[in-house]
Amino acid sequence: MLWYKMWRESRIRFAIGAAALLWMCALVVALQQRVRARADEPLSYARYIWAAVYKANVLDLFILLVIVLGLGGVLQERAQGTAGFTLSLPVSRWRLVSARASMGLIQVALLALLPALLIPLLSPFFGEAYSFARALQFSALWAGCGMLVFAMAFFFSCVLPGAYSPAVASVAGLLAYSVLADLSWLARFPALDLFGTMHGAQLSVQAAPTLASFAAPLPWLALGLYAGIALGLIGAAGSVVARRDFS
Amino acid sequence: MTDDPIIETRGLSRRYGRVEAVRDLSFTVERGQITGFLGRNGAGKSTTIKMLLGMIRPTAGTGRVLGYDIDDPVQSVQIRRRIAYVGEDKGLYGYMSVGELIRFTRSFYPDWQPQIEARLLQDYQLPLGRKVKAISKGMRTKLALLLALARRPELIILDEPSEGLDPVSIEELLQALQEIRAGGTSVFFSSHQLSEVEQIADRVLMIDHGRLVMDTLLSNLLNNYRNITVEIAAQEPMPAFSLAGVERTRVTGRQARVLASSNVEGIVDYARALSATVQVTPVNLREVFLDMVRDTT
Amino acid sequence: MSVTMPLLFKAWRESSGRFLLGAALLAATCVLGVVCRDGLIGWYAPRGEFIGDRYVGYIYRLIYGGPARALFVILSMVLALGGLQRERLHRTVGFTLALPVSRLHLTLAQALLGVGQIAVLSVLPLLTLMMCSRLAHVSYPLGQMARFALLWFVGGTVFFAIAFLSAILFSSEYAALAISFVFSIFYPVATLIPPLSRYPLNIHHIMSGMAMPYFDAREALLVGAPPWMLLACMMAVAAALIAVAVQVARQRDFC
Repeated sequence: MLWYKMWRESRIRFAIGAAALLWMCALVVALQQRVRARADEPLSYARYIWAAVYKANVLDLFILLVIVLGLGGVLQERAQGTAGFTLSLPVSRWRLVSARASMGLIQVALLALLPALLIPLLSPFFGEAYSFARALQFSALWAGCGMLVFAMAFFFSCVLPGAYSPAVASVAGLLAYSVLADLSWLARFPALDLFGTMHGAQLSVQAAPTLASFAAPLPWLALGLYAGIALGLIGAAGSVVARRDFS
Repeated sequence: MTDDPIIETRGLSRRYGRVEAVRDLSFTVERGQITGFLGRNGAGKSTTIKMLLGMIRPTAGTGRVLGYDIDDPVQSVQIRRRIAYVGEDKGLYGYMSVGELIRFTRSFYPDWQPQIEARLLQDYQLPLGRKVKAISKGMRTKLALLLALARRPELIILDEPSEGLDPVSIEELLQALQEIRAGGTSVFFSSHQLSEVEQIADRVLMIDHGRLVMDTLLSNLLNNYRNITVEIAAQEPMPAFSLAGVERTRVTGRQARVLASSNVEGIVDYARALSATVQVTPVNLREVFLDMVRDTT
Repeated sequence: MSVTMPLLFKAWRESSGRFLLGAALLAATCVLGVVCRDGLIGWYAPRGEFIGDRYVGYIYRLIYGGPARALFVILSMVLALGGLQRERLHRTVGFTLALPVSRLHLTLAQALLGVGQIAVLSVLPLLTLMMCSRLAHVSYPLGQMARFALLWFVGGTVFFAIAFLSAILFSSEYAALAISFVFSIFYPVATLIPPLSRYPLNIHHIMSGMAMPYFDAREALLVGAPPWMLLACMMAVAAALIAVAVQVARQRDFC
């Protein structure tokens, strides 16, 4: 039932996020002819989808929604007066934290999957085709990198008081990360470039993959690194919650 | 001071979807009295109070507090300027210190009384520098009371004021309410603590399932209300006690317990005419309350 | 007795954490930009991309048209959140609504303070860059900073108004935040749809000057007179949104 609690607390955010992502993807597909006609140079449909969905607007939306999904938790419950009830449940704080983190990570993965479900399905209605395997590759990148974004918001919501400060800190943290990743001495390590990995530029130019070759071009080292850091951040958040006094 | 009622409602109703939280509530509260507002959890007490304060709009009916229409946003501000209110959850801004919250609240009321504030601060031993979120529930209740009492409001509305207070503080609170009544302030308070109501109230309003089920002076209740226990012989059918003065009848087997607000002699004569054994006992507020609300669930 | 000051004080205490954190982060971005310019300029302003002073192009890309502006937009929305719906969750709405002030006063005070905070945030890069650039012996035109501050203030006020309305409409504080974020991304895409595409409606572009007649992209400088009519229209839209929010707050039951 702990999962049910976590689902109930985040389901509106998740539903808003899912609806917004689907709507944005649909809009991008629907506007493809008009935007591509206005492009400075010829733009293939695959490249257009990459530029509009996986590199720009929809990706930005995904990142912001993942931050919102990371917010909440016992520290925020304290302000609403429900922390006492939650902490009196016969479960450890580690379990509370891990249940919330697990639910959040599942929601992040589902959000990441949505474009892959919609774009290949919708494209034929507008006279285009988009490979499901390619869309899945991008979803894998979003899910892997989204884990880190989620973990950052999750960590801040466990250490910073106030409902909105963790959101501000997360956005600022990501922007700072993006700026720092551009520093020349850091730019030598592409695995550290979270947004570069998320964009998946190399996938956009590759020929349409098949499901059989799905895993081959994914940056597994970077994704593993992010997953490790994300788990570390969630662990640190759990440790903070486990030690904190909730008066 | 006028003789107009300080609170007056006519057919006041509030519906949440299919649930009728308050139904056709009509009552008046006289000036200079302490009125206890009784009811079970979810009976509609807090909804009524919130309608009086303009926090919730009635779905039907009208209400006036100090002569102002409760449904008019402009007049509602006038109501709140002249009354004091302590809410049921004593929700106060946790991010302010006790001192800051007092200064904040003071700035809205020209009738603020610094000497009362100082006295209550001393009585309640509130830590001025501590954040409201860091003080105990009892302290928070005392702070909420200080913010309401450190003025000269014409009416003070309290929703479960003693919740979270220790027995000594409750006694002090009841005393304070009697003192401010003596100073001309009317008091309207809801409570589950019947002993508190019995101790200080002049008048009792009882609400159940959103309906008013009793509106009487406490002295009238204690002096005139009676429990009449009627035991009918085995061969006789149980009569219907539809007589003047009968408030409630509870039948258990051959025994009927009649709560009478008046006409006790008439009811007793009626029962005796049926060859029943009759016993008349005085009642207290607790018994009346249980009688009025228990069998209607 | 004026009740505006205590209400502004209350609104300040409710948002000061977010505001100060945001201001510190925005200022830090500007300082970082100036201090780390040697490492970043190659990325943000590659040689030959801008005519004239490369540092001007670099500051534009990093601050006025880049990450700092994105942070400012997010802050503008976050500052608008809270209010009576949040107080309901925190169980303080009873105390607030029992104060002898109208809901109009309550919500306007919150809006007024928020717009004031946006004004401060919009001039923050000007102040920070002016000081840092001097210390680092580089310079960015003061007039440009002032004009960008104006564009930021107006654009930020519109985003603030959207989030302000969202915070009144949605009872969940995170739902209001999510809706505001969705709007900030969805809106520029929606402006591509005809007939909207014919008008300069993209607030992000209006704030950064991108693809606007009052901006010279080659020099990364604002040119000509500020778009007063456009800015006035945006302020009118923001005012209308805040007015709707106030009206909703006046009508709503807070139980």
